[in-house]
Amino acid sequence: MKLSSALSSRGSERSLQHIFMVPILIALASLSGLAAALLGDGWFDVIGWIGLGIPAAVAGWCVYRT
Amino acid sequence: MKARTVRIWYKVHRWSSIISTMFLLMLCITGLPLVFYHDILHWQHSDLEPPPMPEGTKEASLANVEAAALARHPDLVIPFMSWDEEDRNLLYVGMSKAYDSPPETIRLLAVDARTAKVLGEPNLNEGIMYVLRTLHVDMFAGIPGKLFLGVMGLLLLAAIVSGTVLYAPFMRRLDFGSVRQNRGRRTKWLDLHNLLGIVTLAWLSVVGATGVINTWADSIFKIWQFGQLADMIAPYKDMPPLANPVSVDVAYKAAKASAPEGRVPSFITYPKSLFSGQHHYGVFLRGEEHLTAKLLAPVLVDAETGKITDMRRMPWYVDALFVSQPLHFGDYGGMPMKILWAILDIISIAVLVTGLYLFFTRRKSAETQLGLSLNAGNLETVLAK
Repeated sequence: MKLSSALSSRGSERSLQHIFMVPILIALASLSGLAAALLGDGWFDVIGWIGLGIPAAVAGWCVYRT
Repeated sequence: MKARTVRIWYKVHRWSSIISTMFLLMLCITGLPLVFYHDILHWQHSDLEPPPMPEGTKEASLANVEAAALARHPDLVIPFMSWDEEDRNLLYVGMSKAYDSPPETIRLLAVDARTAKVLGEPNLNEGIMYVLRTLHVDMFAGIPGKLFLGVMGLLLLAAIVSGTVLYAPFMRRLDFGSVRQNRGRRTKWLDLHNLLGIVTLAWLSVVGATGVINTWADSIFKIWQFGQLADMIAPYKDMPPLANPVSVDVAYKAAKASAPEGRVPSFITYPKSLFSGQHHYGVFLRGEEHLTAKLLAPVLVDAETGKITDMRRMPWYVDALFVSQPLHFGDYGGMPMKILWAILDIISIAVLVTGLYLFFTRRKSAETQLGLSLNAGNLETVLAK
């Protein structure tokens, strides 16, 4: 416990929750996309494209910014 | 997380990557055109497409299809016939020297299912796509090559898990998506490696895991052959050899008549083939929906009497194999999905290349950042939270 106060005093430490929040959302989007397209056609495929489009778009956006 | 724990994960990540990276790079590069394998085949063999005919044109008898194929290759036998998954007017007739010839020696004849006319004989065992596919599947080393690539896939999964664990200490002071520009090239590539790796985490895990399952296809088939199939044909084990088999049409019609709603024949195997024992035709039914099309149910028809003797669902491990295939190939959501598959594959190549770069450049800075160097010993519990 005393360690965590030491860490927060440095101000810039991020919690695991904070670090993994966006990655978990991206992973969930990818997995839903993979599953949706497998379960049906039409709109299911569209959900698949959006789900898998998210990791591709995030990667593209972050690289574009640099 | 203690420094020692971080160090262990770091070692797992380093070693699993060192061993597998070159093979994974080969798999990603050959896999890129293979995403479009079917489209390329269609384009290469557009002459094999059945011509348009009025809706509802009746299908020819399979005996006629058989005769047309045998007229072309009188010295070969037919171990199976299979319907194209998208176009039921297109039949593939498998032909080989013996009924139990190994699958890779079987040639395929494309036949119009309505006219029994042979459309052509696509040679899938030549050309650049064949080379790429074989490199990707077994590196021209047969089953051992396949299993070896399966082990590389398992190392990939280990690298993904360890990489995800290490993502936390590296991102302690960074926001998601940051790529530091002014701290030198190595830092920039490290940030890119972490970013692109964590973004493709779920997709690459699925493609990697289903790829590993695919390397076990031969063993899965063997287990089925000696398990469910052996069980289904057990009563016929000691019967004398088949004398006068009924026509393949008899088996086809019997299976179709008793097929449950929404199930259609996917392929038919002949007696003495590897799929249905010495005494039976095997009619393998599939569903017509997206997912159920991957789930097969073998119907065995006694080739002497033309009567159905058994009908079962494939065991779970065969289902798992067939469901894992689209998840590896990315061919189940139209062209947009294939394009996304290709993009994610290219991102994975970038993860591998940046990883190689990080390995070959100084590792000291990474270790310092992880609090692993000796003078950073007091940081040993920085990630206790």
